[in-house]
Amino acid sequence: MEGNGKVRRVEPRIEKEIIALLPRLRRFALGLTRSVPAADDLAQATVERAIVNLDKWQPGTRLDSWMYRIAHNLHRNEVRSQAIRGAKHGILQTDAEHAVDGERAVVARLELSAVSAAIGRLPEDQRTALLLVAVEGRSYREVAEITGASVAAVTSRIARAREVLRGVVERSD
Amino acid sequence: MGEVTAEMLSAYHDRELGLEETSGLRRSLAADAEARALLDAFGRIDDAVRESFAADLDAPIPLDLARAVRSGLAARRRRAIGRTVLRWAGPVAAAIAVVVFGNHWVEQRAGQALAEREFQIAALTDRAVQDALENALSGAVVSLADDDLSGVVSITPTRTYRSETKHWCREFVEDVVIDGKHTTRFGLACRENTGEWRRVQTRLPGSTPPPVGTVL
Repeated sequence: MEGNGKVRRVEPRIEKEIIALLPRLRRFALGLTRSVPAADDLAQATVERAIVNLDKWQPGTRLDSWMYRIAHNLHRNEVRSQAIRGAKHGILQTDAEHAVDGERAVVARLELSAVSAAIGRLPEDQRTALLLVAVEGRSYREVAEITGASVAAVTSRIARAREVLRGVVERSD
Repeated sequence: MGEVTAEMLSAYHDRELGLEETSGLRRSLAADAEARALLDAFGRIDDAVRESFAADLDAPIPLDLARAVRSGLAARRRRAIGRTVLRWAGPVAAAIAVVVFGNHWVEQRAGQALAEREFQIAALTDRAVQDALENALSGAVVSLADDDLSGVVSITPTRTYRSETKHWCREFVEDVVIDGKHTTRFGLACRENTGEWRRVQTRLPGSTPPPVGTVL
């Protein structure tokens, strides 16, 4: 694809497309990491990885889903290597101590409502699936493709997440 | 809630059940108040989830993230062009590189004395930019003087807008007078979440201004 002139024609559109999806990519990363600095690092790494591998993206398919999948894989690997290093600790709490204003605002908002706090406590795979379905309106099949899980697994993750949140929503009503 | 499971209801809520399952579930729902209550709760849960994630979209993304897109794509283009050039002109390019880098080394040595002064002017300019963009209205001038440099930097914000990346950005005129020598340039800077104004463009008078809204 490179070097034959095709890349250059496509790129201005690609650039706009990527820029337009950055806020959602960042939100997805925040859903995965629950920490603003970690989410920004993840989003940055995702953008870099995606651009280097742009040839592997098939035009006509959803660019955002492809980038979400990259973010999800990068995050998986990071979590795995953190677990190996034994560095697994309360990410949100640690970062809040060093938080600058913008971050503190986001962290405060996360803690503001009981629902947000409960979302933060959900297992990551449930939280990610719920974010994609309830907020982004993705189908279970799309979620399965992004997260590398089966549709059956996605179905049960979403149901479990909603069951947990039910108690919180009904208490705050 | 007889044979209706939370998982079935959740999938029904998301319109993920097949036709047959859907009509079966609707029949069960008619006779099952508990299941209907759970389905209602799922609707409220989704509203709460959407609300909790909504604000994350309004926060401006870090400028570095936006810039990573452009610099990443530019690097791709350079690699593509580089490969084409090297295919037919590899040895020539290598010879030119030796000459260019040789010169560069000599210039670097000669420029070292100037570099310290340039650095001080840049630091003074940045302080004036931060102060003016954070505190001054468009049209108002902020000047900082440094006697050691015998210089004055004046920054006048001229226009303010939200960029396509949702950052507040301001255009400004930069007047620098050092040892009586006057330089005017136009700048564009955007505000990071941290409160720091990051300069994203600098141009000389007479050059074409960037289209409004483009930040990178």
